[in-house]
Amino acid sequence: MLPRLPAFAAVLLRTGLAPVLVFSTAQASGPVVVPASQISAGDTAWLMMATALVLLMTLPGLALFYAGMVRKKNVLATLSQAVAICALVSVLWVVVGYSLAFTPGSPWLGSLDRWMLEGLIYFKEAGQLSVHPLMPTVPESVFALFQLTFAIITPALICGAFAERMRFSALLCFMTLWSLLVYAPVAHWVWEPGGWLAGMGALDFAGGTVVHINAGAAGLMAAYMLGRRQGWGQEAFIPHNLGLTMVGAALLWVGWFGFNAGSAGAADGRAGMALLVTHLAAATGALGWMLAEWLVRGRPSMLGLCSGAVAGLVAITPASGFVAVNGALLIGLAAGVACYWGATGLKRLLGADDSLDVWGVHGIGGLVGALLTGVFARKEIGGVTADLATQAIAAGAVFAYSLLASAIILKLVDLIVGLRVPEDEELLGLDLSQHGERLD
Amino acid sequence: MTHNELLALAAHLHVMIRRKIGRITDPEWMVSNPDYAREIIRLARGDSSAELAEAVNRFEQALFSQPKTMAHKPLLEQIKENLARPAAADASSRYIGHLR
Repeated sequence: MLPRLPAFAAVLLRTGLAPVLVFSTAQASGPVVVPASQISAGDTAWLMMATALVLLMTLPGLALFYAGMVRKKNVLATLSQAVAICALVSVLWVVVGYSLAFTPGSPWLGSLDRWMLEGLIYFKEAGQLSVHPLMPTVPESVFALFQLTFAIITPALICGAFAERMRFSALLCFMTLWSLLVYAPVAHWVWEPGGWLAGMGALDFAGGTVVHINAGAAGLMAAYMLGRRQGWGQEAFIPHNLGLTMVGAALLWVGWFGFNAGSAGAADGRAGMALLVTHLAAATGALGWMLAEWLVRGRPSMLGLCSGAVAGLVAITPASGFVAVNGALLIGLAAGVACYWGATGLKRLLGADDSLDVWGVHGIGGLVGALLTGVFARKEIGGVTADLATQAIAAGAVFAYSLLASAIILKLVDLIVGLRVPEDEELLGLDLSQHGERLD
Repeated sequence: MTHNELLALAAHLHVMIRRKIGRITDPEWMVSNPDYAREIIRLARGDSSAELAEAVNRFEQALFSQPKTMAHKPLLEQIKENLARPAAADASSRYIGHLR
């Protein structure tokens, strides 16, 4: 019994003709079934490790990074949001998200043929298993989980923009809709070979556009639509514990190796290059931010160093499989300076209470990275040439779609459950008002 | 003087007024609206605290005196000033309206 395979695939598998499936199903939305001998142990081991590293970025990396920056009365709520999103998106991904993002379908959206991971198989006795064409030497189970960790961290990033004021129920509704209506389509546009931006030749190695511009734009819209926190601009919102933020940033830095080098889909030279440039961009990002802050404000802050490292990591993300060392150094440096402006000068100009600077760091960093990929990409590394105009179109399209779709989803959620906690609950803090817990 | 520096002085004054007089003010508005700033200065001068008077004087001088020359300070001079400024100068405005 082969319940998850299409009938014709099951017949071929039983008759020993399964390798034919590699060709016969590549054009359809069904699975690509291969003999176990096609699987690379090294690639698989690396991808499994990379998956764990990317999950580590959200839990506890991003959770701690954000929790350290909010006020004490909102720490547990901020941590809860990351855990809840991880659980929620995991289920959504298996049920329908993976199918929408990573099956051919149309240039705009994948099909629903692979809901509940339909067609994902592993048959030990027959020596057969399914793979995704994007990573043909790795079991599809690992590919699907690796991509899931990206689907988790992207909405988790948005939480920083509306920190300290959103209802927990509204957050769950928003994240459900956003994951399916924004993240999955955008991942399909950019990463699925049939997606319209992939077809145009837009380059995004590990998610500068899909993850960071996407989350940054949604965060900016959320900050506008939820409005400013009470007392914003009038009283100091003292971060609870920036030590936690540093620990979170360090976990992000380490986890980013899985994010970028894992996106090579193999344990090979390109993954090694991605690893190298990722680290260098983080370093110059930290130095760029530090220098800018030192010159403008007179002293370099610890939060600035951590933020600069994250900015560099964000910016190198789309470029990590395409650029050499000099490109990485410059991308990181540019992102460090640009994101410092994004989180200070630009933030003032925009006037939105983007609480933890999701737009300033991830949006601006993502834009810098997407555009500079078009400048520094080298064909001998990535095997493709980049075009600055195409990069700009891809970044602009994702920014515009995310902004608009997020606004519609937020409006809808506002009508159904209400986005924002009542004033007294905001003053009390979300830990107590939303979760009935508190830190002492 | 940069917007940031002006905002730092306004925020410092805001904290002083809250402590000494118990009134809540809006530092951003103090910087962008001269009429509001004048009213806040008048309010602050009604208190006898020397600390508050010093904060008022610094803010008033920064906001109303020689705005053109301050705005066009050479970059190097501006950087030198920033580097020489004591840490306490913007401590009071830290985390007001911005995190980083």
